[in-house]
Amino acid sequence: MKFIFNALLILGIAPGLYAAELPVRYEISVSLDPASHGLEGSEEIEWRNTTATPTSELYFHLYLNAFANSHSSFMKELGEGTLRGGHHIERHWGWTRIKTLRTEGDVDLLPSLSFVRPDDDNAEDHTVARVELPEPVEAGATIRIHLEFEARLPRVIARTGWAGDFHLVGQWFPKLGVYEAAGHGGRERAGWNCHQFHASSEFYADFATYRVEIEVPEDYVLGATGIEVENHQVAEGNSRNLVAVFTAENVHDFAWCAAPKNMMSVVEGDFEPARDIPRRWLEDAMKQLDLSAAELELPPVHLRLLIPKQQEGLAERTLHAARLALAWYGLHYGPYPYPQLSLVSPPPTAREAGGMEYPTFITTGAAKLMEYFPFSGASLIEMVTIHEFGHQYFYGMLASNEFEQAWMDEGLNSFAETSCRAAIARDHLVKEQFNLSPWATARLGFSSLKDPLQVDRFAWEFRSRQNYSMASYTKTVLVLKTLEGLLGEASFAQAMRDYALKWRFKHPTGKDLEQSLSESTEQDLDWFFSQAIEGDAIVDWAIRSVHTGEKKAATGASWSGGAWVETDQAEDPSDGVKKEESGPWDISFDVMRRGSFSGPVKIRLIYADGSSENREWAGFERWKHFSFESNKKLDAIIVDPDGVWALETRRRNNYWQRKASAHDPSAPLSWSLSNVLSLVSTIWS
Amino acid sequence: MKRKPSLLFGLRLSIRMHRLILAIWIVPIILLTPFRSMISATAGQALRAIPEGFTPPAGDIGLFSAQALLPVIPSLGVTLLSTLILMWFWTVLWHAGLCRQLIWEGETSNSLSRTLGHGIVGWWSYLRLSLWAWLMFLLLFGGIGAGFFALIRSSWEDMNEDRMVVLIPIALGLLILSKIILWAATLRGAWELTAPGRRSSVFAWFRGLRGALAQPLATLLPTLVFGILIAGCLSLPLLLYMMWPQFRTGRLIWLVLPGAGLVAACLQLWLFAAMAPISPALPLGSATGIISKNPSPQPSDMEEDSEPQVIV
Repeated sequence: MKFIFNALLILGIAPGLYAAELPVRYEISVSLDPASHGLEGSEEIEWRNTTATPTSELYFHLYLNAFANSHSSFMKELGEGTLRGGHHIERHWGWTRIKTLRTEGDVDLLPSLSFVRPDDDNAEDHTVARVELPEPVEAGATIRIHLEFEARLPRVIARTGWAGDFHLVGQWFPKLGVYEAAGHGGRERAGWNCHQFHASSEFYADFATYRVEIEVPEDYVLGATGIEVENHQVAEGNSRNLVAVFTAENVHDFAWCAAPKNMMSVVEGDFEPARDIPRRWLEDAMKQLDLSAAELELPPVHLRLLIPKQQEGLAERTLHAARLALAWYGLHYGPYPYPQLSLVSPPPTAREAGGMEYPTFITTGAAKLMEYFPFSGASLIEMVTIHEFGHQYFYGMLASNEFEQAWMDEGLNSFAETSCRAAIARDHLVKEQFNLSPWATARLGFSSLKDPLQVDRFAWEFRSRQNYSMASYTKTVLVLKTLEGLLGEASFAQAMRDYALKWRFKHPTGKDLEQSLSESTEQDLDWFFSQAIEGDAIVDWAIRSVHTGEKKAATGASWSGGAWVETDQAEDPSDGVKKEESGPWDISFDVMRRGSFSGPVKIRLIYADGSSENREWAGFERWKHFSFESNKKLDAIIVDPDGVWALETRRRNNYWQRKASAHDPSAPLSWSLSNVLSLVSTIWS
Repeated sequence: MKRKPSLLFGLRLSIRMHRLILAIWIVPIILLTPFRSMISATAGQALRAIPEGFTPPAGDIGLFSAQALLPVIPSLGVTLLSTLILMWFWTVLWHAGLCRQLIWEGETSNSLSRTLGHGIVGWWSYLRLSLWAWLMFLLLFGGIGAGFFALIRSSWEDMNEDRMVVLIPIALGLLILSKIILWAATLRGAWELTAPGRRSSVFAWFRGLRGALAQPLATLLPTLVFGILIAGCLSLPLLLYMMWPQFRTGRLIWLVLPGAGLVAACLQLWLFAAMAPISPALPLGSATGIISKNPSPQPSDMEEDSEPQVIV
């Protein structure tokens, strides 16, 4: 039965099968002028109203206008002018303008175009345009429109722009918002979901079919979403231009990159499952997911890497990371269904173009220095490549609304990426000199959080971008790690795979995830999600009031022969000489739920003879009193000894010991540091 | 005859002065006690909560340490800074003591109190010398660093990573070489400062620099090699700690730590003593005393070709 279920899911995920049903089709023609960093383009858009509600308006994202001036919502939220510490874009602004906009019947729609600000009423934001239609698009009906646009790319910022002759062209064309049916994501009425571009948010769009014709100078190399189906040269004045056509199906965005051939190399590779899936990963997945090797079979994928010529030495490392990512995500979240993955390693000065995902197209992050010790030891290339590839699942195929629930992409993907990196480290699949546990790093990062933090907020509503990152990435990773601990690894892995396959190409919301996991695990997980994601509950367990002592003989009256008999105080047989304690022991202690997060927790009791036992507590009351008699002397109590509650960062009070260890675990490090400090004084004198 | 550093002389002198070696080893350990105590009282105390033999979940050790240390970082920083200053003063003290004892007394008594007594008398001059060395260091490093930073930045802007990758090791090499030259100049300058009538620490430092540059093989090479060895010895426990988990909990660390420290102390004294103005033509016999038999040598005695000739 499970086989049939999986087979159906896998059959259903092939992107081509949905092509005919996709609500949008884009046919775009664009040319790049590298000197001015300008784009000239035209679009044929075919949009089908898939809801039951007619609409007489269209909404367009004009993302590039976020970089038009310092007063756009994006730039105001950004504050300091760069997203990831790159160049400031001052004097290199970017914008886009719709020049013509007509229906198939040649009705000019441009006069009805107006800018709207659904999120913040910022009159100087021009990232969302609304167009009134002459007549409504009925349920199931299709409208075809033609538009021409021009744009200028900004100096590279926030995943798009130019640096020298390198161009990463993302969020570059006027793109339709999503017309959502009533009921989707809790929506009361059908309507357009088209948010402004914010500093702390990414994207949301309908799945579509793309055919994009790109014209660049003939000495340029191109990389793009989808696959290249055509390639020819045309005369352009005294020079010749390259025209390449790319097509992609069942993707919700299209990005491309162009750079001179003397700057970027193209390195081709393949993901060959029989060769590239680590054997242990396959065996673990078969066991954990209860699936056969045939059910876990993955298709081959062509890899195409654009990398600066000077970084060619890092190409194989990048491809290796991509292969590992294809294997891990494929085994745990279903096969990657597209024939190709394009990767771009941006050159120096284009760092803000790095570390970004677009459908079937990702940008990584490398520097030539990473070929050399000690930089070669940091696995930054692997981390970024795996993370960005992982977005092909949660951003690409599941395509949740990142404006409204960024954690559904960033958090779920970060969890998957962390699991993948932990497996890589465990199996030594990447050379690393300093191997920090990715889970430990996440917990340490989360511990810096001072205030309660709600994950499920619109991206621009967070108090700061750090707050947004902490909620959407780190906290969600730990939420899922905690859930994995509570459900068990196998059960959780099966549930996540079911979710990833079931909701492919369907824009799931947080509630859909909760429902899917609940169904798969046959447990109602509302109690968990309402506290961890929708709420801001804090996890903090603590041990209180531990009493442990030898059981004493009872004093007072005892019931004997049907009557109370007064007994004397028990005489001390030792005559004042202290005897060795031998038990039995009266043990009592309280475990408190100091945090507001409630749920089941395990308590481990460790005895002096080295044995241990576990006790369980449902954890919904504020505290639980444990009292019992034991023949063994209690040495230590540990609440949540396995670290199931990864969300908990105040864990010192989870430990109790009868006698604190005399051994100072920090001594080796502090003495080693002392030695190094002596060196400082020596050579500086 | 030009004065030339003699490693053999340095070795013999340092073996003779084993009490000073012990002091060079132990004093920094003592001075760093407040620093270690603060770590022990915070991170150590927090980590003691974990029962011995229990493997905590991933991240607990990092969490406990960070949560214990973060609130005391300002006071830990002040403690560390004052300790480093005291260690600097200490190094200046024994440098001054050894130079003055050897040159002015002409003997190498193993008495630590005598060495330190001389050090206290000459400490201020030697501190001035060290401060001057610091100033030179800041100027040279600042100059080289700023120059290369501009070059590397322009390579980055030009997307010329090949040039950047060449520039970075050159910059690092130059910085290390400058540090070695400055260090050698300071070590030789310390001995120059003992010249009778020489009051200018700056002048002594420049004499040291001239000597170091004039005899690169005899001065710079040993300084480089000893520098690497000393750095290696003192960093070894930390490197092992970071790369070899068993080292953190085993007993080996308690052998490596003092061993490495002691070897580093020997090497420090050996290198410094090797810079003494000893004529290699003189026999390095077992006799002690000063052959000039002049307890207050005149300035003319310190000319390059006629320095006081000391035998240990």
